[in-house]
Amino acid sequence: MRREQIAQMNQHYKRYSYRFFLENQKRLGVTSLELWMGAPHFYLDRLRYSDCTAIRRQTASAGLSVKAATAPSFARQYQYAMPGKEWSEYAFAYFSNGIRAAAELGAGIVTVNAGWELIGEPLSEAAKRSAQMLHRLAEFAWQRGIVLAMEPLMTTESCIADSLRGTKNLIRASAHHNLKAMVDTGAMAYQGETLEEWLEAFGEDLVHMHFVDAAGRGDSFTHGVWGDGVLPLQDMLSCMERYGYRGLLTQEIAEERYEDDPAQADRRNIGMLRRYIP
Amino acid sequence: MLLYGVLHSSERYQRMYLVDCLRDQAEAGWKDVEIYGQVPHLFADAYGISGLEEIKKGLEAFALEAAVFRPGVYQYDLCADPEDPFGAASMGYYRHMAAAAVKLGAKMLSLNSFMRIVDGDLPERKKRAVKAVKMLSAEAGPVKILCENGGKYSAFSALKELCDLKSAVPEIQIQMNLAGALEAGEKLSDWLKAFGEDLKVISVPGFLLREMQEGTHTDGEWPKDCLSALFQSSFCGWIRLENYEAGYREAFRLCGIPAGGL
Repeated sequence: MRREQIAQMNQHYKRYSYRFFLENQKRLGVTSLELWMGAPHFYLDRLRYSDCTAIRRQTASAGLSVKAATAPSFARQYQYAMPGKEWSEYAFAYFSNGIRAAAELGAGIVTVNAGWELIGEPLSEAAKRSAQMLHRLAEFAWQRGIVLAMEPLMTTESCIADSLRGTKNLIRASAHHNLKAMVDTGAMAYQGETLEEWLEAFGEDLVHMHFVDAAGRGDSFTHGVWGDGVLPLQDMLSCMERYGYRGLLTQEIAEERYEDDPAQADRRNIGMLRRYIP
Repeated sequence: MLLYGVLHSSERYQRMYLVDCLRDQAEAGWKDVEIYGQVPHLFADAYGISGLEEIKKGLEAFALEAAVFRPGVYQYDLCADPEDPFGAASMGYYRHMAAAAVKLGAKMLSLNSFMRIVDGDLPERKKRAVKAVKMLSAEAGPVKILCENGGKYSAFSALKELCDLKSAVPEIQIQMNLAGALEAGEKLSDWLKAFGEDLKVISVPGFLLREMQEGTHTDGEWPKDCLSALFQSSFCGWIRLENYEAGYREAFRLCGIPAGGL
């Protein structure tokens, strides 16, 4: 594994400025970013988004580059399985703007998810909406040189694709070659699955990872600093070597407890990773 | 205490149909509800709103009224610079929500979107927030703006800062987040002294009530004592139950309030 595969995400810095986030990554020697396109660091809606030229310049001046991007969907008006034709078009406009912005930022990957169903509606209906949306977005991304990587959600968030099998089914249903798989090790641990199972199932179609520590099966602690959970870091890195995984290892440190001092969280996290990826 | 009603918020029903919330509220016997304005019940952004008519019809069908209209917070920030696209979008969104509150016939419009950026210019952010609240108050007409202590990540995190906001915009009304206030070492009596009858809503967190029910609360009797004190106080307004799965009846039983309210 190479150092530049470690990509930092900025979500846990949302109580701080983007400048503060970049300064800390520069200090840690991080070079790759997965940009979480949320306020106050980035503004994205269905009609407009932040000045990507300025963001790209600011990021480069700190010695970093945006390799992947995520358009936030939790606590937003938009989700991938949006009910209703009108609202579904608003969601498409939002997520396609995210893809446009990602391309302008120089990213090669945009992460997506399945969205979620309404309690009481047939799951198949929500899954159909999700597959249709993801197909459209995959085509839109393909035309702009962006690969879409679909991450599973936890069962408490969505039942559409909350496991390896659910992810496989949804990617198949979406029927577009540009929609690939990604693993979120927190969601993976929640389901009691292993990284080897994911790498075996998808092979080179597993193009991306949110690579975080977690507390284990069925627990809600799923996006932690390495060392705070129970996942076998060294074993997982060895597994990736065996399967020849060369994608990013995005550090999506998304637990609220890290937001008071995200810099300290990153120091511990990167310190732990550097023991095995010098 | 003079209890106007108990507010169940449709915020809990974000993965359910609005009718489920309205039916639950009607069956509980309370007339007023907090409508949380977000998908899948309402779509709103900086450019418009969709779904308001369905909410109005639902309220009429169950003979309910929207005591509070609470916009989905999303990413917007009333402390942001309105000259900036993000700040402009935030104001655009809240202006639509103010208009929505008027159309729904809500009594109050809850605003809690004041980001505290740790390395930002807090005084400047607060100044912009005051300006935004004044503008929205004017646009909301008969609907009163309701602001609360937003916790450590809010520009108006505690009692003192909320007092400053109230001084700057005297017509606003106040919601007390009970858990937040108690964590900050504030007492209900402090709040009543500061705001009097402009303290209109007290938001009681579900986790406290659940802990009391389960007997797992280990921080002494203060939630129950506090709620008992509340019912003996001069407070006139609504109690808002936050995310309490067992329902309001159980919550009040724990506090010694007779079923069916006061």
